[in-house]
Amino acid sequence: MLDIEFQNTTCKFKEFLALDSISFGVERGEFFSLLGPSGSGKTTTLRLVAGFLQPSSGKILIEGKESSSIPPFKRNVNTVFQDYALFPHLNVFDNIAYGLKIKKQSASTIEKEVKSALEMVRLPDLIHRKPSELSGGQKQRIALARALINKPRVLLLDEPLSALDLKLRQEMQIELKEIQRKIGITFIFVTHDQQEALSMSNRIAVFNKGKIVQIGSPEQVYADPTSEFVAGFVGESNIFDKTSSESLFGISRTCMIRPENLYFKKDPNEKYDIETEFILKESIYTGITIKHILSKDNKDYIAYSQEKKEKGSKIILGLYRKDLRPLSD
Amino acid sequence: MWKLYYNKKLTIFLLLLPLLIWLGLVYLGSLFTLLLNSFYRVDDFSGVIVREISLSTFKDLFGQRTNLDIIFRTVAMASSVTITCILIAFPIALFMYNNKNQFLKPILYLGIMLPLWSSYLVKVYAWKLILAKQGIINFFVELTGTQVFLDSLLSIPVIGGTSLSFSYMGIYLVFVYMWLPYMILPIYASLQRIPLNLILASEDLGATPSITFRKIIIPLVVPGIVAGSIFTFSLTLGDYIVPTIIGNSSYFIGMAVYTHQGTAGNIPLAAAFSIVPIIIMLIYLMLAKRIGAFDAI
Repeated sequence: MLDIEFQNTTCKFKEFLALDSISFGVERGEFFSLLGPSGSGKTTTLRLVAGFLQPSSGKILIEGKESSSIPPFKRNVNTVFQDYALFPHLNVFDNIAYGLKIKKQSASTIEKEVKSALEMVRLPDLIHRKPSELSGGQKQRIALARALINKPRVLLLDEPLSALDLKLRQEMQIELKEIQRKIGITFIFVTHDQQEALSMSNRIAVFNKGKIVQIGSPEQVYADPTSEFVAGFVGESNIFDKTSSESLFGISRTCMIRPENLYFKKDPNEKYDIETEFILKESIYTGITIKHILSKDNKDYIAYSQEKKEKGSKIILGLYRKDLRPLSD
Repeated sequence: MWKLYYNKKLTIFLLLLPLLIWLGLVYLGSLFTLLLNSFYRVDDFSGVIVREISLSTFKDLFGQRTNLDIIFRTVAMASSVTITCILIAFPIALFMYNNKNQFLKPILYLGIMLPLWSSYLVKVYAWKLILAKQGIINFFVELTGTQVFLDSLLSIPVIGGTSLSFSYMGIYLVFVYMWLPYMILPIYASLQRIPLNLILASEDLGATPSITFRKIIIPLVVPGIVAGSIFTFSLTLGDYIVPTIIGNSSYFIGMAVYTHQGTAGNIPLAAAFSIVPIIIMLIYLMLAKRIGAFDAI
């Protein structure tokens, strides 16, 4: 069952083509991420689902029904905004209760629901505070509670964690994932942070210049990027252009290999499919490991190891053919 | 060397000093003098100002029926002008806010700002000509044969009069015209300050545009309305030119202050009169704060 389906959907702002005929579907209960650089069309996609924008052509199906002309207030989807968009004149309780009050629920129901929503986002009793009296993390949770209390079919999250500091962001990533698993509704999550997308999603759609360039599970997108853009945007990668690939691997296409698949040859007995010599330019200590920048034919490549190496030394790296990914251009 | 003599606090103090002198001496000082004068009194026989602190001037002010009438008349005028300004300014500000037409935008701005650039007296006298018995309004009334309506309007007790330019109605019209920009601009500014995402969030949570308007836009515009009404209300409270030129010679606070400090030579009573708008404004601001008008700022 598809909760959301885009069929050749295009969205234009005057001359600017924000979305260029994209098609994809989101399964019920999925944690689906839209990943891409800013201006790639991911937020536009989210706004189309919310109903804040109308497609220039193509269809958007929500729960199987064509929805392009349904106004936002009639859609069974809710949004968590990047800047939270809490109502500044209402306290926490009234912010969370906003949707239920509009639906004219009884006061006792509202009170009960607000309480359970606050429990869900693990917030203590702050119902009388105004948004201006809350921290960023608290605002984030209130915005989440305010959306979830309406029990939407699909929750749309527009870079909800980007304003938080690293530690809080990592905590919220885990928590969001837990909440999604617990209530089992579909999450569509916009982010430009590939780490976030990889660690949270069931599937990722990678956007570039108004197009979806790849859709797949985090493992697929990371291990099998189909284009140079995806290889470069998701995770770190070593790209060998056509001529280098030709001479090194005998493949006349651009090839990608992840840094963790490049091995430092320590022992002459170690056997690799391909071995080649690099010059070490720089070693960067990152805590867990050491990141080496190596150069060959005036191009830079990355590899990891646990030992420090001397700058300028010649280094032999080995790799296996199965880790090589030929890319389409 | 420089560092040796550099003292951050002293620098800030020196930078602020001219401002503090201005604010402290010239501004607050004169306000204080005003307040002090209102506690002096004028000797009934000699007409000399007695510089002793007493409440007798205030007793005069609030004890005499004519003075109370002046205060009541002024406050009633200021209130009705303010309410009318809100009712007219809100739709205009909303229209400007919603207007996407790039050609119309500067015209709207100019239409509101232009009257503020021209002379105050010129505007009042222009209005006198518009409202006068042989004026523009009468010309059109005669042309359309609607004299009956104007006459019945003017025959309403209290607000009517011999002609529009000699009635409370005329004063009211001119005040509304004069202060309208001061209401439109703050409302427009507060509309513009509402983040678009708040409106989207409201719709997202199931609110129709009309609910969004009532529950989100209006409460967030209230600070702007309060700011605008401070202008319209206090400007009307203190004005003495419009009632002098347009009115039917009934006194307003501003005129009373003008007469008492001038021809009547009763500075203490003039000072006491001018305290009244200040107190009214303070009460007004306290009430506005209590209903939460400034919460969203």
